Amino acid sequence: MLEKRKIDFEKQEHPSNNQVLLTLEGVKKYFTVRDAIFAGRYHTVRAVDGVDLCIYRGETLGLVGESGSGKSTLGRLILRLERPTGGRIVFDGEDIGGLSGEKQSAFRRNVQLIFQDPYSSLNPRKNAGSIIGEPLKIHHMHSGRRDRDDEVARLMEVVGLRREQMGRYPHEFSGGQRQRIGIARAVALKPRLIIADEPVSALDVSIQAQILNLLKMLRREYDLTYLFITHDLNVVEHMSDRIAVMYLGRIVELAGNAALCKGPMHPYTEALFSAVPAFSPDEKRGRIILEGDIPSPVRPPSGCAFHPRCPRRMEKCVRVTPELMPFREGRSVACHLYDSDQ
Amino acid sequence: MTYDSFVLSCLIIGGFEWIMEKIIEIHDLRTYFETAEGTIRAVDGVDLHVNAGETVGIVGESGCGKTVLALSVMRLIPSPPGRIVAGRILFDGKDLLRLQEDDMRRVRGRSISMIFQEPMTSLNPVIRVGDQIAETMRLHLKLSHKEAMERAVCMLERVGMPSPADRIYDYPHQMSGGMRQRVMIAMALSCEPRLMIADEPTTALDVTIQAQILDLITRLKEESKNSVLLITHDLGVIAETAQQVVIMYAGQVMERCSAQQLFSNPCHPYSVGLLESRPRFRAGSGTDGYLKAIPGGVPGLYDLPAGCTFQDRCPNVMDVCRKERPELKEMGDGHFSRCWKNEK
Repeated sequence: MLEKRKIDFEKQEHPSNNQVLLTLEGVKKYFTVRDAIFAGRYHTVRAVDGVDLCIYRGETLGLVGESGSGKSTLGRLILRLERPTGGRIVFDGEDIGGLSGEKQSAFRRNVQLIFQDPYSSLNPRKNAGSIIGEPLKIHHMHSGRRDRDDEVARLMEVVGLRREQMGRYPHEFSGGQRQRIGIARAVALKPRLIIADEPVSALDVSIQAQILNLLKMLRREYDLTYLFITHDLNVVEHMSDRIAVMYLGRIVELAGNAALCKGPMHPYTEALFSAVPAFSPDEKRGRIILEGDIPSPVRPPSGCAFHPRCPRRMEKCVRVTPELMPFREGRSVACHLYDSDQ
Repeated sequence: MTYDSFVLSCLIIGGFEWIMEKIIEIHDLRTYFETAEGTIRAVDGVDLHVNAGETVGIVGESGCGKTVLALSVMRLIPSPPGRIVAGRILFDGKDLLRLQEDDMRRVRGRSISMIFQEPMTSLNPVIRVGDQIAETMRLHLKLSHKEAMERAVCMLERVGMPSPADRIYDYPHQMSGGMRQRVMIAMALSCEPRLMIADEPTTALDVTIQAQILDLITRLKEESKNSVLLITHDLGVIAETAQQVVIMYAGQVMERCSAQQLFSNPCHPYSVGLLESRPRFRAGSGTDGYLKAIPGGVPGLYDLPAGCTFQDRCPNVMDVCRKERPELKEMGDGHFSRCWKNEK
């Protein structure tokens, strides 16, 4: 099985270089939750249920899905904030499950996170300078106060803040400026992979564009790789090289940005993309309105998890869970509609 | 009879049918908040009207006063610190701002209803949803408990709730966000209001659920011929649903026009900036393109500059913009804009 998966990865569409930075192999994360009524009973929530994915060096991989699809949990697994229930996560050739000592420290330097909420992710009692300088301090980079302050000031200018604002506290900044502080903190250690978990969802429309531009600029300057988690399809299309669509803990479709947005293959992707509001009144188009909500991950439907809402379900979908299979042009899709084509 | 309603009746008798079309008219509304740091002019001289059967979208970023505007119409501004210092809100020939509290309560939920952004915090967590929907009808329509519950089931069916006869016994926490928002809409529509105010009705929802709810609001509006005042920050939602648009910035209307005009011919630099800063879906722009962002941030309402409130972020700022505040002027064809560049 592992052997087969490796072949699959090579077929996935990728940007010019094909150096793999991060590989997920059959990653699972189950949570146990106590029953709301009966204290002794427990349920298993399958937040991430068997994800195979790889991220190439220098690319932006967009991860989209509705709330409850497991996209944030996947981000936390890669950061090693959660231990996977099953599967392997390999970063730069090393299984991150077994890291310790210097290697663990290096991993933590190399993978950083940008949070969604710029209000709760900054310590209100620390000023901007010490928030941005803290990772440098922890990892003993730029030791010496003056050296560190110079680096912090440089970082602040890179993200569009002023050196004089170093002594200010988070409440003195606007939402957009706080997100800039969070971004400066994330790039301070010159990481190789940044997980951006809904980085612009909490921001005003006119500020969103500023932050998206900043993230793009940093990617070029610092040679970064992004895993860009969002539910906003306009944003993900603007930012990503490839896009993975998640539904109930599984990836249902993975393809290059242009290919996916022009012609989604999975019925869920199709419905999701048709739900994006029109750009202007002249561009209103036919919608596929999905019935009902995303099912609970405690009791996922049998077979294909999407079958209760799928407009094109077949008898087979109720019984057999489709695997994510490679398709032509490096696309992958998990749907029985394409069984015969593969 | 007040002077306003007298004038209105005269005009109606005089055969001015166009005035009958206006469900609600807001004139020079000013809602201020007194705080330790000074007076905040959250809504500062807003004029707008909603025609029968029309959806009017109010667009703006956080802190521009759009929610305060909606709460002022409902007269739900917490006072103190808030105060409606001036203006008239004409609804049904009456000035809502001069009604006694008792009369206002008969308007709320009956003739004007409101849908709030966060369906979890706006529903009572310890009352079954059926009872919450029925309460409005028992109060306003004087229905018995049994009749009201029967109608609650009908309402839930209309808003697309599966097996509504069972769901009326659910508590809000047993429902998903989209379902709760449906309950809010059923409640808002239960007394067949003439105007429904929806304050960011889909912001907390996923995109597929947003599509369901927007479709539902549009369909119900067409069925019941009521009007909708839709508050949002999302121009995509406007493109999908609204006929008229009001762009607000720092408590004032910057541009007011039809949705068509806004997207084809925006006049105010702020509207242009908002439209251009959006990433365009399926544009094939690739990943190298940068967005045209509006520089800077929304100004604090404590110390607004003299002159135009948008001056610091405006790409074509002139000397006059820093000295004097422009007026909202008609550019023809019902298209209003508050900008000095339109004066020439």
